[in-house]
Amino acid sequence: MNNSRKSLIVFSAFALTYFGEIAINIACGPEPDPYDYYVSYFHNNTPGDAYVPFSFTGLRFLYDENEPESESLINSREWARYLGKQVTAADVGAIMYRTDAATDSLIAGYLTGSPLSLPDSLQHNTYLLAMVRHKAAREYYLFAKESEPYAVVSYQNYWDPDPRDTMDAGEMEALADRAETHAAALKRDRFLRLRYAYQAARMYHYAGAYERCVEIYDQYIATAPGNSAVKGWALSLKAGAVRRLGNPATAAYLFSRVFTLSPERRVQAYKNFHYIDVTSDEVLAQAESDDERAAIAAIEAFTNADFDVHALASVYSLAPRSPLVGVLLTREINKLETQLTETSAYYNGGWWSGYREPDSVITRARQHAVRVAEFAQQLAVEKQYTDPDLGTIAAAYINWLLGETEKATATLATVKLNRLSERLADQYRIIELLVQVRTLEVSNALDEQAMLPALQWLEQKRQRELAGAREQYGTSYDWLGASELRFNRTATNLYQSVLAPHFMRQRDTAMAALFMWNSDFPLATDHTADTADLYNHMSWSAQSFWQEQLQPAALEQLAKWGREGLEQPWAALFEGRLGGLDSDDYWDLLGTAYLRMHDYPAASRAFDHLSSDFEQEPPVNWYSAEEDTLWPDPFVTTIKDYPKKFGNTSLSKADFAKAMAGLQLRIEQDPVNAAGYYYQLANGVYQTGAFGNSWQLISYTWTSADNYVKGDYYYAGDFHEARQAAVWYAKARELSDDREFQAKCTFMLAKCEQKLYQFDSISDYYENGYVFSQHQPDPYWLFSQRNRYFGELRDKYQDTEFARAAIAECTYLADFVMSDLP
Amino acid sequence: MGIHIIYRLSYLVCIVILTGACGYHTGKVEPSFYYWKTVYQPDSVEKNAVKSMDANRLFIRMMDIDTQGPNGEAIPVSAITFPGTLPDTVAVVPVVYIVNQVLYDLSETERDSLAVRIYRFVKGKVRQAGKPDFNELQLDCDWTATTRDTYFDLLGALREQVGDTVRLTATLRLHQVRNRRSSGIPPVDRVLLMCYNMGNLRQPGEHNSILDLQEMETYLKEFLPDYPLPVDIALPLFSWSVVFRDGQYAGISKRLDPRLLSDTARFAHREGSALYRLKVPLPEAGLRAGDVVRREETRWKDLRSAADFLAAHKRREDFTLLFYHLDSQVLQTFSNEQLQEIIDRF
Repeated sequence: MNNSRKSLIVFSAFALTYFGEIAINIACGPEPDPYDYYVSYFHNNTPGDAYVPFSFTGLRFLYDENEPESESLINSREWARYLGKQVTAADVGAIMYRTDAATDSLIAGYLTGSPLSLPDSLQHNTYLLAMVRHKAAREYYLFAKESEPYAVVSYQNYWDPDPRDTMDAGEMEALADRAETHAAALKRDRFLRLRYAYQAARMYHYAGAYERCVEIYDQYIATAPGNSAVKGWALSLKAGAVRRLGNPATAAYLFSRVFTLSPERRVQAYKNFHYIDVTSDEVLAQAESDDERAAIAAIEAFTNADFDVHALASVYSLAPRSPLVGVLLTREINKLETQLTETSAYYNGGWWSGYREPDSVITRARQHAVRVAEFAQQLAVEKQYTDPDLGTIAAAYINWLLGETEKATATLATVKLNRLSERLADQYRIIELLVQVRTLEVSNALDEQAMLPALQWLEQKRQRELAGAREQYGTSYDWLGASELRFNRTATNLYQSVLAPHFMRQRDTAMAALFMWNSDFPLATDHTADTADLYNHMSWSAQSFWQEQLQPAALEQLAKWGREGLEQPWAALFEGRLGGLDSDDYWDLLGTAYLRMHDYPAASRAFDHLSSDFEQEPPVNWYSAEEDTLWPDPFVTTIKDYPKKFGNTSLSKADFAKAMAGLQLRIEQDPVNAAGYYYQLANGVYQTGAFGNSWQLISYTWTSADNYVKGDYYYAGDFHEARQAAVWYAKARELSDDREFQAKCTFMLAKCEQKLYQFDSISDYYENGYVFSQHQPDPYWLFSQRNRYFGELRDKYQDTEFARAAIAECTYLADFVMSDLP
Repeated sequence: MGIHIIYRLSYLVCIVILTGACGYHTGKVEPSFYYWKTVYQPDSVEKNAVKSMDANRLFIRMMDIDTQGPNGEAIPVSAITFPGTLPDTVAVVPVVYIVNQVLYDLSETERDSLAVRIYRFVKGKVRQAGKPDFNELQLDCDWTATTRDTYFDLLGALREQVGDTVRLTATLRLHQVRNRRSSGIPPVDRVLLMCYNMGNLRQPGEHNSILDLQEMETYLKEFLPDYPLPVDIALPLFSWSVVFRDGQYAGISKRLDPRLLSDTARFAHREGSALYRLKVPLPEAGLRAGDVVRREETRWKDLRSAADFLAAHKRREDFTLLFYHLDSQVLQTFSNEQLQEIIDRF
């Protein structure tokens, strides 16, 4: 009991250290990409662009902070219309929104009659020329520019330590008074009257004269004829003023109106709505129509990252034609994807795939999926929504999500592809592809041929999308334009999480490797570069897959395809990727793969191809102050694995392969001493486990979780479970008559047996792998007390020197020997 | 021989007496608080805490810097305002929190102009606080291996701005003490070790992410004494309620009144743990039935143990001991006498 408590304490300390270590590892990992943290195929802009900022993401307040439409463009167009055909909106925009202070001053001088000459870029500006002729427009421009410093926050203003409300409110009120005077005077020119009124409302608002702001709105703007966008902006000002005047429910309601009416102020209105602390019921009490109630319900629902079929049904019943119905339906589908799409272990570099959702979560998601599919069908059948085919496409996709492939095909068959809108047609083709993969057979040229056009279509889509993003965002396209790269994510997900796993299941690892490689964004890695650095033109996902999954045969196959070409219909898909693999990275990987297969002569042959200056950077101990290098020492025997005993000098994989091959040779040449050679072989392979000091000889990565979480790769037997070591320790023991040696082998076999204590996932480990309660035995300790080799040590070798030493050092063994357990 | 033993014994006794008399004495302690709100309006409890601790400096967060400019530029966010000024007896140490993202892709020119702007902004704010100047500027940033060099260069640029008369300090996380090779040593006069937020907040389980002595030991025990810069210390006083929904982190509930946790009609408490499962919906706190709340508190015994641990492992040098943070709600948990006891443990 005493020993049991001791070992419990020892293990608890160990578990706590490791648990803490994992926590830190995870905490120090990268942040998830809010646009790509779950596998998605249903594009969130399928129902249109007007409400894309409110698409589902559980990781940001909004999916996109940009307004769906440009205020400057809308205003420029209104001005161009007002000033007549000879004025272009582009010219208005150039003068009104894209000039610096020096140019503004030049223009002001020009418009007020200074004998200045304009630069060439401005001389033919149609807006400027029109203002020269149009006195009222000119005066308005000059007035607006005069007000601008009080209305616009510049980059410099952000860095001004003085709070803005200390600025001269009196000056702003004076500007507002002048603006109102102009508005009152301009009885016939509705266009300028409205704009001066807006300027007045704006300046009163910023000066804190909220009553005046509301009065201006009510007097000049609410009743103004026409549907100028300015009315929406002014309504926004009134909403803010009403809030300041102590009527938050009305303010929220007015912001909901701006949300509906002004796409260029939609995001701002949405944020303002939610900044106001009132209940939904209070806001709804202000609404005057079902359309308005639907908008308020949708604004509330957009904050809900959980399943919400109620809001969907409610908005549909209030306003079945509203575009908000399609947006909410798409959000529910995206939410379902977070739980239901198959996710490659290598998705996003493998950072987010270690956690398995509990069954109850999946069950709940599937139940929700059925309800959403029913709603989607209702949408399609009732035909009240503006584009009822969205319902059909959504239902087909949910069928696929639920694994109902035939039902998905049948649902798709109820719509005609050529009659769908472009977005819906794209979605149709994506679903069709997903369905096709489920029925694909291995190396079936006919199937491949049939799917090729669809895959090539997707390739073209992603290339075009990337070209557009590069044009708009330059070299930072991959993060500035991240939210817009939908076809790229679809292609990546299809290759990585559907096609590659499909070929893995079909045992065509080489083809899976090609798809993993193809899943990289085409421009993210330069695959036309010299192949000498294989991983330089691979993403971390593809690289990890290659390093973990490719056995020698697959690697040789890929090299052959590189040399001779791939004679399959899909060869066209991999153009540019397939090339010579003759590089140090490749030979190192091939040699490592042979090490993992215990074919040491073959490993040596592969390593012989490495260039003389090839050197792999050795791992370092992150937890030591100086981050010491971890040198392998594979042939050492220790009773305890921890603390690990590392070597003092480097030992390359090629050296290791040579040493292991030498031991195998000596078994044949010197059979009398074979037991010793087997023991050395066993040590060598044992230490390449995650728990050993030489894991870097067979693995490219190591984390503390590798000590107790199973690996889904072909060398997991060595890396996690010491299986080959157990075979060779058993062989060594069998060939020896020396009881001391046999005791040592038996103890090592017991250590190998302990390595079978593994969990399927990190979450399994967290749930079951340790106990904090003092009243429950530690599960690892319980496991150790059933170790059959401990039984053999106790029964056959307890009198040996080695067993005595082991009992003194290993508390698990000591507890076993002292216990009454059989 | 006998005399020799007696000599040796008396030598030992002397050492025992000396060390006993000094306790953990680690040098002179200058106590202070962080002020981490956006409006400087201390209430009577807060003023009293500063006074009773005899703090003659207050570490005030002036602003965060984040990439929230119209085109993603670095700008001050949630800058503090000063409706009133600080008393003459209390000096200001401005603290600037830099979001790590600011440091990505920062060119040399942008970095230098950021340093100029930070210094100018801070000077303006300090003046609003009623102070003509300051003698220490603290930068708070959870830098990573990727941003380390840029951050250190920014500190260098700030050093040029503030000159030699102002002490430049930087906050330090636990792992940065241990992993010196990847984290580097910031080019500042002193560092401030933040002894809180050390566990994984988002990980379900019963651990305390605010203050975890095991973590402190793992990351500091062998490494703190050798840290090559003078080290100030910050200790937590706060508590919070971490919410998990369907086994996943959902957030920190600021609206949940912690007193409700002991209401058995609402919460089922797992005995001996910090976990509370909500039985009924609690919309006023944004919680649903089934949500699990982990109540994480800075416990008195942990605070004392942390102080003892730090006192034992810290180099002997004068240092500032900061409490996070000056807030009457937070101060309800600990009396002024208790805070004084923590100071005295060093």
